Amino acid sequence: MKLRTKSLASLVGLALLVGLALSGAEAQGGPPPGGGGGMMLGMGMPGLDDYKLPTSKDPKDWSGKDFLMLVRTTDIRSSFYDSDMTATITMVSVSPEKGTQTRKEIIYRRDKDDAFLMITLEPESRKGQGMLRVDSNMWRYDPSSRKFNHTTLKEQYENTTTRNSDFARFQRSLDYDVVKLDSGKLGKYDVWVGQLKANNDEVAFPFITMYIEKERSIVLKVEEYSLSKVLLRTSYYTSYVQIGKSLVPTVQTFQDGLIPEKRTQTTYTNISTKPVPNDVFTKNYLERVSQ
Amino acid sequence: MIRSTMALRNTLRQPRRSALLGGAIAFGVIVICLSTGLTAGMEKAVQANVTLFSAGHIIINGFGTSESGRSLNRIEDQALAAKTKEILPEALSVSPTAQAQATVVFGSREQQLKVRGVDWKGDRLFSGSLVLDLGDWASAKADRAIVMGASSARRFGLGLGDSILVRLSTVSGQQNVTEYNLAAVYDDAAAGGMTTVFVPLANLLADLNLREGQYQSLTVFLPDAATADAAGKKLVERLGAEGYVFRTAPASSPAGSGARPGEVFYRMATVTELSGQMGAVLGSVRWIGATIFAIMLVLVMAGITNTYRMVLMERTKEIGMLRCIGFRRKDIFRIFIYESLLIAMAGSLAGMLASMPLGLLAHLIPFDPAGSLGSALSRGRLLFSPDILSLAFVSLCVMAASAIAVSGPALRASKLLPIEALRATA
Repeated sequence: MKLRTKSLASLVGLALLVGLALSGAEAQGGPPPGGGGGMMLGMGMPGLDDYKLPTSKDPKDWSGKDFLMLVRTTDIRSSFYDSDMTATITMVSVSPEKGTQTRKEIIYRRDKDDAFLMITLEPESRKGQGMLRVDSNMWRYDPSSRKFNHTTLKEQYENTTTRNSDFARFQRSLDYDVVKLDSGKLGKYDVWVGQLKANNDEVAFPFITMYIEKERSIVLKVEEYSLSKVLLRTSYYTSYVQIGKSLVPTVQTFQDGLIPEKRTQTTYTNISTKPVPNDVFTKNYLERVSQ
Repeated sequence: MIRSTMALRNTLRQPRRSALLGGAIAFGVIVICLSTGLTAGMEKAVQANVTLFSAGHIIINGFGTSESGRSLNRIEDQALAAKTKEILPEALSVSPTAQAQATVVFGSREQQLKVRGVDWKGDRLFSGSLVLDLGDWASAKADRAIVMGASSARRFGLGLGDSILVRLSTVSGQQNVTEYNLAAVYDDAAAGGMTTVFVPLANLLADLNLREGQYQSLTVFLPDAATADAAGKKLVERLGAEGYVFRTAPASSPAGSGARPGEVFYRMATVTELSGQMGAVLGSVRWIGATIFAIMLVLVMAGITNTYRMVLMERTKEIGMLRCIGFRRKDIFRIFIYESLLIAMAGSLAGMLASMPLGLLAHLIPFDPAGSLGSALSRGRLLFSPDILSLAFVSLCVMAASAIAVSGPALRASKLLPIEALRATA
């Protein structure tokens, strides 16, 4: 009975969150129909240049490959392959056990090299902690011990519902294959509902379901499932901003699937595409600025 | 015989002085007895707890590589367990096992815990060591059953039969969530504050996405933890001769790093190595105890020397008379030495006897099993484990020190000329 009440409360919470998410997206105006900066074709992704997505809104006219190419388009559009990116991230985590915690980070991204550096600005007790990804190596830095610890994109970020991979460029189109494609509604938006399965056993979530708005081709929601197909996390991308050719989800909410009351909202502000010096993506830089 | 009798009579002539000297010696002996007894007890508790934490006295981890070249902790060799049993026939059990760092979720509560997969059929260690507060072993061994520490169960507010979710990463790093039913609750205070939860091995292997026949490590439970190092060495040598590659990990590298594509290698650890850090701390405690004892011994020696210089002055006339009636120099020397040995022996004995109730009192003090001392506790308490050999050595040291301390005044007493001794005190 207790569990039933709890799941009902979770469902209501979820519905409210989706409503908020969608109204948020609407309030922001969202990108212009057709995907803002265009398809960002020719980003070095084989096959994307010449690929023509079906114009039909009927899933029967879409193949798995078509949907994957749409996912690839959203991956590329949310990334910065032509420039570097700097932003301030405000992260608000809510947990039934720990209450509400707020963090502020600064992030430097160079997506063409799959590199990023994130440094904590607030709270004061964690100031100077950092996370650096260069090539396929990733470290966490703790200024109090002055030690780098190896980490991976799959790790949870600071016991929140975010993962390290949420701060890097997306590459869902490379890691997943389409299992099923449907058409549906998310709030008032017509969406593609694509069920994807990992094509390798090294991604954190073996199954995901993506909700992509048909009109603007933007990802609104992603459900991530465990190997046993239990919902582990739902990500809501509630607000997008056009920056150059990129279309960046600036407000993202990550809700835990097992404890629905546990969630994190990340908000990107002060986004800049100015070039970042090469030495920023180094351990030396992280050590220096953390002092 | 007469010398011993005279020494005894002399000792009893000044009972207060003898008692003070013996008391000082006894105090030093109490310190060293408590220090050695408690550190030996802690050492035993650490070894027992580390054996529980690591599931055996010898642990062999296997490493291979994934298709993408990532190091994976898994053993596929079906013959390894049989060969290990053959090499170590004295082993009480040789069991495959697996473990994972997991998030256990119940309602809106979660806790990071280590999940250990146990082959309950062959298990001798856990079912023989863990004390169940709730439930029974028959239910604990059922499919999808979980055995949890009392603190964790209390924190979650769990009762027997409650269903909990266990979230973990598979060997390749994928997220997985499965359900278990609480079948038993063990007394974690009695297990050195251990927070590990136990599930059937087959269930955990499936959760880790390991195929049939694969597991993560092989654990060997020996009749005596003290033989673990020798048995481990023998195992590595014999398995190495059969083509198994064993590697030692640099301290800075992750446990399974350094695997080349297609390569399979193993790492062996013994309970002695695993309890190394705590062992070093206990070693320091032992050294501190020994230093305090040495300082006290020096102070007592100084006290004895001074006391016997006084005794020499008091007994000069008596020594002269003894020499006159036929006692030789060496007899006088020996009487003094025997006196000191008698006091040292009595002091040591008193110290050893007094340390026993004190050690037992220390054992009665409850400590927090989840605290920093947790792994050195047995059932939340310090173990007092005095060792006869150590006590005998301490007694010998005390007696030797007393004899050395008295030898100066004794020598001077023996060199006294009888006529001068009689004149000096006439």
